[in-house]
Amino acid sequence: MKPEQWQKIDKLFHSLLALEPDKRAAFLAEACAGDESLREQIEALITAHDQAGGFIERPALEVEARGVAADFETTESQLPISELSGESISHYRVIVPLGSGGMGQVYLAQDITLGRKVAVKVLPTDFTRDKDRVRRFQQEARAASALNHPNIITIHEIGQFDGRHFIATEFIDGETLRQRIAESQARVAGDKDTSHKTLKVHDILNIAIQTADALAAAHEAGVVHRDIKPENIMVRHRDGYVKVLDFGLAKLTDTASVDAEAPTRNQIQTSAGMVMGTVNYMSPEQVRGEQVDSRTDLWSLGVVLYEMVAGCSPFGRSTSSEAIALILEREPPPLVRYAREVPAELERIVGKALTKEKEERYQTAKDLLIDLRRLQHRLEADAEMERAAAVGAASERNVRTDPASTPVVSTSETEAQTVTATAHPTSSAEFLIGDVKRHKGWSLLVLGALVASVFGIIFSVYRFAGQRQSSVQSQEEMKVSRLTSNGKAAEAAISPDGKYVVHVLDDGGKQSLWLRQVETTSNVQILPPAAVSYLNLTFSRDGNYIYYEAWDKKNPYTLYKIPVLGGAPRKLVEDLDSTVTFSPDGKLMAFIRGDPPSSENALLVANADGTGEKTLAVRREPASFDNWPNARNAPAWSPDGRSIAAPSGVGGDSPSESIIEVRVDNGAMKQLTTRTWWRIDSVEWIRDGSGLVVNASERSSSPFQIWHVSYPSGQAHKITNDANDYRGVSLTADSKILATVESEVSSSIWVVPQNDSHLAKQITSGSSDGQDWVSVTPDGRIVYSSRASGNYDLWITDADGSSQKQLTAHAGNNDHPAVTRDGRYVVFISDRAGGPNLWRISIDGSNPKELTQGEAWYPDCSSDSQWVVYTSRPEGHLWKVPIDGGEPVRVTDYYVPGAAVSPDGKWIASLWHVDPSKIAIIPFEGGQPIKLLDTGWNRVHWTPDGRALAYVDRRDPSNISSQPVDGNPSRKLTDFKSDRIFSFAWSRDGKQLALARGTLTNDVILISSFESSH
Amino acid sequence: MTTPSAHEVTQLLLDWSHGNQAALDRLIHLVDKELHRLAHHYMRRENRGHTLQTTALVNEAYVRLIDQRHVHWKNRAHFFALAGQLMRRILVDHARGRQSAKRGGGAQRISLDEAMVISNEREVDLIALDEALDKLAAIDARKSKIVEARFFGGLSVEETAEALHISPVTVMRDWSLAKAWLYDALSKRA
Repeated sequence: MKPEQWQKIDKLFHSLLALEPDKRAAFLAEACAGDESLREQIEALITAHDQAGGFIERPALEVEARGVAADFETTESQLPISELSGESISHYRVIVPLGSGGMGQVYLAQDITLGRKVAVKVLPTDFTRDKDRVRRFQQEARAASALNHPNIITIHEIGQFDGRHFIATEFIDGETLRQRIAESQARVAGDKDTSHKTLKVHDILNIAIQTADALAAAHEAGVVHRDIKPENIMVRHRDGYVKVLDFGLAKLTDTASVDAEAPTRNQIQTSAGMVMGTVNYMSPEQVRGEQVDSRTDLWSLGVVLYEMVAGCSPFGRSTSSEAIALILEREPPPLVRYAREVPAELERIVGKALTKEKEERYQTAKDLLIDLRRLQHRLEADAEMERAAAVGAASERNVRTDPASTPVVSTSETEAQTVTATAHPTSSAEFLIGDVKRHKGWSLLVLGALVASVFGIIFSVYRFAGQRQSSVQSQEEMKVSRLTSNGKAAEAAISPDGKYVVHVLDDGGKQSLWLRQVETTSNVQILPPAAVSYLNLTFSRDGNYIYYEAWDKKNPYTLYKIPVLGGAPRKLVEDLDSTVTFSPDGKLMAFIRGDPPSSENALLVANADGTGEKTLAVRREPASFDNWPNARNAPAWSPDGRSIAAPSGVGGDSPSESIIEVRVDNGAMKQLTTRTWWRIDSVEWIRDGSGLVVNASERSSSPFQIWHVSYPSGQAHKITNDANDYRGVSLTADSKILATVESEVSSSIWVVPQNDSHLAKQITSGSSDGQDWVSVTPDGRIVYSSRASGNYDLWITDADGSSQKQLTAHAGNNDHPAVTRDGRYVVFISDRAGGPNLWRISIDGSNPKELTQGEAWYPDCSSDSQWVVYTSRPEGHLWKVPIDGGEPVRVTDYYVPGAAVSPDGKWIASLWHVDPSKIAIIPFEGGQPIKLLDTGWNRVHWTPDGRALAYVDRRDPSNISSQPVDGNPSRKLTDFKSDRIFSFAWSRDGKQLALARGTLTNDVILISSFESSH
Repeated sequence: MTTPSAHEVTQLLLDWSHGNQAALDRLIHLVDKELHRLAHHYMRRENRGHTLQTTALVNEAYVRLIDQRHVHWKNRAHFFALAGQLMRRILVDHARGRQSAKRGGGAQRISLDEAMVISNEREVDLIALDEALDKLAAIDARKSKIVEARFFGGLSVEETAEALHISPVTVMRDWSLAKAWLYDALSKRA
């Protein structure tokens, strides 16, 4: 469409809207004057306007979130359902959600009248809309509730509350058979010996017998379960008792049973109930949609039995239609293929239960039960005889000699090379211990070799704590040792005894959890790499468990605990926004949970196993307990157990954070320190209660550092004082060692002669040289900022690295140097007189002069050396000020930060706000941009010939690219294969490039003797 | 340090705008978190028959995401413009991901008529809208930017005006035509 045409449409559209609807047609006919296409287009737009209503009026985030919600609701979801906690359903007070599934949400609750614990299942509304169905379900459930059998869950009540149907049953402290199967697989994951892959035959028979017993009783009473699957079979922790759940519930979803006339596969696939479950356990008659009787349950139990033995479902497929085809047509592979030791009789029993023709299957649960019991007795008798025959041989038999089951033992430094060659992946460290015992000789040898190979990399560095703090009383050295050195640690926590550090390894977006033994450097993978975020790590007080939050799409913000040496993670709490902290006795934990809709957030206390959650204190926006996404927000329980310190936002116009102390007995809150920070990441109490260790950042522009805050005075001072960012803080029980992740930038100055990267040469050895900017004098010397002095100061060096000299000293932070074209002055940003302002010094460092009163960024000099162009803050407009000071002159009244003046002085290239992929070229005198170029949203330099703009292209590795002003394609000027480039500048003749180049690494460090520094 | 370096999302947003792919990944992750958080709240509240405080909820999510609380010293306008662009990219990608997941079929999911998935209200098809928005941009870039800022970035009329350096009246005027044009484009598609 031509622009004129569109302008016409735009104008007419609005003119028409301004008219009464009945006058529009005439107006339009006249305005279009025979241009039929124009008329049609406008008519369509007016119609659309009238119909559009709320179209795109709600934000896209909401639209997408609703889509996500809809997806969840149509799949078997595992959603957090804690919202009923503390509330009541009828006379049941909800304690904690236990889980959820297709058949509804289940809560642990207290029967207020009888005082007993019960499980309350609230049915999904979808199923209960159909009154007829509900009635049938109730009939059936009542029949089931009449069943009095130890292996059938006792139903206390079937009721209605607040329009929702619920069932209250006995509460079973146990796990589902699904979990049991999953655990047995997790225990032996990676173990090639598949005979260990599953439950023991003894356990399998035990579970199957009890289930068959339950079915026999139900069938006798005329109740068919219809949905026997591992999820519906629970095993009680206490005594291994099996309880079959959900009798009759399947009827709710079973439309086919009342519509037996035209059973088709298609019907089953699209019936609402099916969406919630799986077809894997359905009998052939069930998937065909035929009438089912008690024999369908025997088939399903056959599938469950098969799965317990084989570790996989006989008909399990990724899609239901495939699974259905197998159920109807295929004989499952013999069990012996999966489990060599499987008794032939068990194979026969499973085969008989899984006979497709129901007339040839077991006819009653009793028959199946009898066969199972007989087998159990026989096996017991055999075992008895064997024991008698081979006394003393038992220990021998326990020794596995499969060399493939070597554990993943790795050190952070040598990760792949040294170990994986001999290792086989397993997620559990149990095998480490087990195998070390079994193969003592060579395993210890391997460990020893590993220790030796990495020993050279372990080192300690010493730093003076609080270098510039006048309050420093002791100059005793704080010891810092680096625990990892691959640069990929995301978070860490140290065990109470200081022996282990658990850390998250972030590699290419995949995260894994590792346990590092501090002394030996052995490093064991606890959780394998996955597209999951692990955060908020902490050890339980007894050091036996690691608590962590895992985030993935299905279970965001979920707290798990895992035994320290690996094992099956256990889900404890959903929807939490902080690291947990434990009471001194380790029995309770506290954490923060935000509730965005209500703008409230709370500090909660729960039992260490996640149950018994209750709110201790609530804060409302703008005040808050910290609940930043992707931050630890860690509260800390005081050593005397009486209070919890929590990082909290204090709200208001200038956002800041402080530490709030919450009393555990009554939830009363008070400010622990009058000092505020910009952001607080975590707090931890020191053992004797004399203070806290805090990870916080002072200003939005300053890094996160470790602080010590005295209690109760609230006085704060820095433990670390450097340019690095720290993430998290974790203390040993004696508070002697502190673990944190240090994010360290290392940047030094390089020169690249002839623009040839292969000739690049490092000329300074600082760690923060030129990180923000470098500039070159007319005679080829390089001016850069460096933190070598403790503060950011300006330095100058010859291009060969000789004659390094500090230009500023004892005058706040100074950075972002730009040398005037005549080489007389350096202009830079300094906070020596308060806010970051523009300053000037002579090239020898003398005669400092302040050029601006307002805050400034990014100075550059005009080609005649008369002006300094800079970006005002916070507006981001361009201004210029005479080099000798005076009244600043406005260049732009719009946001274009980071000016670079062209060599001929006519143009300014600056970041273009409207499109972050572009750079705007603006006349030096100001006005609108005359050209936009694609450079990515990077600050640029003009190439010495003034024909192109050069910029740092990407990171890791970074290179310099140039974008010709005439719009020709950009090209790469350097060819580095590693490291980042932080800043760069050319010499005047364009023959030499000065670079600030280096790395950004994240590693776990341990700090000790930090207490002596305050 | 005197050079501004904000943290978290603000920093990521700037990193991303500097071409840092890792920052984008991190941002996607955060948006994803918020989406699921919102989704959970929808389900919870609706299950309980509560009237959903949608506006507060979504606004909060945007606030959490674009961290405006801590951009007071920055140029808000620029920040807003970035936010709209970023959110468009992430949300449309997210919608595509969900769509292909539906096609591919989750482990326990039965092939569903897609109509069943979509709730009673007719929701905007983000993917189709994204395509239409590209077409609109070719005709009228400013209007497309306005939709990007308001619909994807969750900005108010005033914030959009600030971000694009135009008056709020112009935003409203452009919005009504852009909305009609897009609605028309999407209806024709359907």
